[in-house]
Amino acid sequence: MKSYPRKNERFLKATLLIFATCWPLIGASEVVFEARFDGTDAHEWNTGQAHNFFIEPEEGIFSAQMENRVPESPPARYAVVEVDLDPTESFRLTWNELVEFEGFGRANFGLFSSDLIAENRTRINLPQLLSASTVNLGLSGSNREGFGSYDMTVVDRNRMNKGQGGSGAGRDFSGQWLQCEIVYEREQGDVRFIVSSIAEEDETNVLLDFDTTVAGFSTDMVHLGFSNYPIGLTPNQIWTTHPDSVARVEVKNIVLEGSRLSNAQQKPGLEVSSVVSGKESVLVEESFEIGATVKNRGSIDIHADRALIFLSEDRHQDEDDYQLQQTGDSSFEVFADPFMAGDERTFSGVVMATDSTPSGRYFVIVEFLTRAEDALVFDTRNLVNVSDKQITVNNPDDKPVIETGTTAEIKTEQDGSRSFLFPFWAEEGMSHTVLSFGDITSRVGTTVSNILGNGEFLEARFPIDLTREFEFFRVGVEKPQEPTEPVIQPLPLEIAFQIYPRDQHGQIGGVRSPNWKPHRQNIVTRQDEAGHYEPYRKCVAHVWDGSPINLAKYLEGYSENQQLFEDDAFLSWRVNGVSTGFRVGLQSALSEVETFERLNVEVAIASDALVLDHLIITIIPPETVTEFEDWHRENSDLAWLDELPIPYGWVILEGGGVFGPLIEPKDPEPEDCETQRWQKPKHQDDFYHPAGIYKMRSEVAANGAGHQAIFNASGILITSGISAGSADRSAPLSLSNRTSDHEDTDVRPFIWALQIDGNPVGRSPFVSYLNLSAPALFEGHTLSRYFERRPPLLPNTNPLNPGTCQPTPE
Amino acid sequence: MFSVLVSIALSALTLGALEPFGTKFLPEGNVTTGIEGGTSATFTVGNTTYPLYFEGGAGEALQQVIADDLAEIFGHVKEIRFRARAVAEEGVTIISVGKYPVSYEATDDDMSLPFTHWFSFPGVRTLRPEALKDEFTRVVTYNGQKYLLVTKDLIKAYRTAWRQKQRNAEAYEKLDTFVSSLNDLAQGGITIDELPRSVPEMHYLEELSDEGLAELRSPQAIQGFARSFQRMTQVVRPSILRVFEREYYREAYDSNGWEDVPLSGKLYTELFFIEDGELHSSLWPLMYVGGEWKIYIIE
Repeated sequence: MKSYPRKNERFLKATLLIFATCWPLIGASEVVFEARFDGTDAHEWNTGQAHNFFIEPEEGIFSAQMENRVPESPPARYAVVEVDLDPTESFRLTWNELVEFEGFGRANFGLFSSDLIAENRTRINLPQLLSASTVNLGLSGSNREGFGSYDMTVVDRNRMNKGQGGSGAGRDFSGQWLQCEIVYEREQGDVRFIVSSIAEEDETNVLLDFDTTVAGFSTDMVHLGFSNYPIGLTPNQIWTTHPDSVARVEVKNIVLEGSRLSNAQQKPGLEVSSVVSGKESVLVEESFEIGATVKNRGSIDIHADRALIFLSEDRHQDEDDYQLQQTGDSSFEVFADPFMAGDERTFSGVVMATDSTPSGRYFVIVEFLTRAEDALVFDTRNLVNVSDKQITVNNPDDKPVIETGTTAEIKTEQDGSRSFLFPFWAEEGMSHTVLSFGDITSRVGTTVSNILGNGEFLEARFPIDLTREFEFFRVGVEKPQEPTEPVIQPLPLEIAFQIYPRDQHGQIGGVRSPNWKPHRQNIVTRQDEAGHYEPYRKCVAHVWDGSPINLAKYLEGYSENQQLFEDDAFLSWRVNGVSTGFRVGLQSALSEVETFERLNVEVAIASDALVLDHLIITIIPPETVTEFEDWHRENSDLAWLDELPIPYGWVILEGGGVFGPLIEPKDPEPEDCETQRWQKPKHQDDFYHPAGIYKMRSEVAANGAGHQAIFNASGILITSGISAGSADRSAPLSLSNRTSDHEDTDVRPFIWALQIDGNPVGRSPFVSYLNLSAPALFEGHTLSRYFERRPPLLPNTNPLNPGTCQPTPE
Repeated sequence: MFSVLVSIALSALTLGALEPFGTKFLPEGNVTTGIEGGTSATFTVGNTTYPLYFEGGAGEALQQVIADDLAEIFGHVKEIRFRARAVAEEGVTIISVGKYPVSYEATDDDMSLPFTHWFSFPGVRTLRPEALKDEFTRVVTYNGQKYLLVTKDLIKAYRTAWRQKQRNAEAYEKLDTFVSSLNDLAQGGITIDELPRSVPEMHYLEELSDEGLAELRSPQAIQGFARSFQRMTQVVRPSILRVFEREYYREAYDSNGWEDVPLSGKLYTELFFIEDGELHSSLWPLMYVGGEWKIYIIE
């Protein structure tokens, strides 16, 4: 890897001297983390393609061949080292880079979250589901001399892409050593990229200088190095349409400075995740109650050597319980509400085979993620038994779905997720074969099981008898020693933000007003609401009148323990990362309708700052409530619905299978209907209808109204909840409909409703109202009131069956 | 925050190097903050005119660019509301929800002007550009006079936007012409047939199918286009802060699956209009394609 030209290397040294002299600090913060990567740390770097990444320790050069071709097995196309930096605080990354391209080669270097290193399915476009966090510089070639492109990618913890890129003539920075720098200033939320060429002695030529503002970064953004998944590219990205293109990169003088170490480095053993996952095994009776929330998003990928499994079907135990959703051309996912302490639930999914399903062996891949992997024991009473190392299928009743006694090895991925694979049989003509996924209990002395999909410990809430001396033992194994004396005396009660049932809303009442009632996340879809808001699961709106907010009033048991909860010596508070007391005032001008501010509130025990609970408070101006109430009142007349066509109850899906064509919805409206009242179905993927997979829009009625129908992965019409399509008083813009009030009369009230329900979401800042700024996490009373005025189903009608025309008006 | 030494070093490295080679920019004029008197950079709401205070100073020409642009952005605003800056009382922690810390003060070389009030425009939607979110909300008071604060970062954003405009002078002139013609249509000055270009030519649809093109050329579509503008009171000239030159991806779906189509290096902007005194955004964005501004249809 020494074939590339190195221009003006002698000038590089002079430049580096300047940098080293001028930038000893990151802002006003002391540099407590500094790492220089000179190639002697080769053993700490990881890659999925060892043949493409090399370190030359003698010269301190990291060499990479970045291929556009997507490798057959993920993950790959990366080489990273995990650093002890706390990326939520200020940091600076500098390096020198020399790159050459063949064709549309592409190379990215910077800090990545784990989701960008492993295979990922995030998308770059609207609706965006970007990485958890990344800052990286990407350079690309082209097929024209002198042309190229660059991306300064900045994805913050809210998954907002704040980066910038460009391409065209003069954007080819190859063949020259570059001085690259990324600086993050936490206090200002400022990220700056500076890329310079070292052109002349004592002189640098700044090629790129970009400043942007972010909301901060995820704590997981600790992977430093190369990755060709710079933001979450799909396999059909433009670069991968040129699979033979290659970028060859040399990088040296990598210096990473930070103002704080990672949490693990600062407080070993005290973090919740460390406590839970740091021991080998699980729970022991009387040790502690694990009021765990298990993230029950699983994905079940059906892999076969020919098209077999084409569909899944919802089977609701109750409304909003869970949905079975298709995730791609060969998989579906099961989602459900987050588990609560004490929950007991049984899940079942349905795998359907067609009548023409050939007999054969197929595989179901169940992925699950857990950061508390050894604290999970899977219930042996169920279909699949999971231990630390293997899964045993134990399914006497449902043969031949899965062979009894089948075992599978658990594979632990680099990002902490674990997967296993086991075979099952499908027989000719088989249909509605039920896979029972097990149940869950999360009480003292029992096991936490979640055979279905992934079980991620999102919270470990501490019990009434709080001790920090937790010990974990495998179930059935005697404790080897007596527990040590607790360090902290038991708390008198549980400290948690009180949540209320969905149908309880508005002010809490009594001494706790004017605070409103918080709610827990109840939306779990493929839009990854939980991941987006992690570790926040509770939210509430607060109508701001300029008065301070009493945070303690949100705590369960406030009325009886007001004095204790308002004692700063007992509880400590952080709002948006800043230490506060229990009463906070806002420095804000907030008063314009639809604007909002998000407060991330943490409550902790003052003596050790151990965070006990999290709450998002969405601050809204009174005008938003007024506007929504006015809209609701003014839209009580629903006569306009009479002109709308009836939606179809489902769309038939065609295609599918691993190697078959993509699943496409078939138009349910026959072509020989007298008039075509509905447009053809299309694919659907946004935050407005997060669980929707397909959509249809009606014709524009004479009164300007229109109807939207949203279908789930099975092609079934969604008739309630946030994902449902609704009647629109004003059909959206189209080529033939140029007088739409859709945004004002249909979309904005929807956003107001979400905000009043506590969701920190607004209009996307990017190109009109095409998407929300973030996924919603709670659908509540106000959203239901919205649907009173914009119903998904027309009154007194049932959805039509595919293949039928609209009934003739009487 | 950087040390002084670092700031100097950064300035030295970046000064004059931010822009493509060979571009000359209009001079920004004498640098003032606005409290020296004589400046015409003001902001008017209803019948009241407020002077602007440019934190750290800005050239007078740039000040006028900023004042003119703010007037466009907030042209529909009828009322301004002032709220006193939050002052900590006992037991209350004041937190900042924007990008600036609670301790933030407007500063100048010779003085520190504490901001005294917030201002906002109640009851209306303003659809501020992102660059204005935290930057045009404060008031500083000097000799009893309220000045609306234009922060250093906002000045910087405007400087960048102004330079972008100068680099793309022809495109911006055509943007003004394009918006003016739509305004003429809205206000009845011209008919649909008197537009400089035909309605289909004013649109940009990627991979336009024959079916889509036919629909675009249909009399219904053209009349619908006319009606959509004739209802408006005014088409708002886009703020220079809202004209972007960056990579923007449009996702296309075809037999090969999803594909992200880069529209690299193109200028685009959003178009707003005023109707019944309210600002509305139910319009497609504009894209500068092939030397002309076109309405960019997104399916």
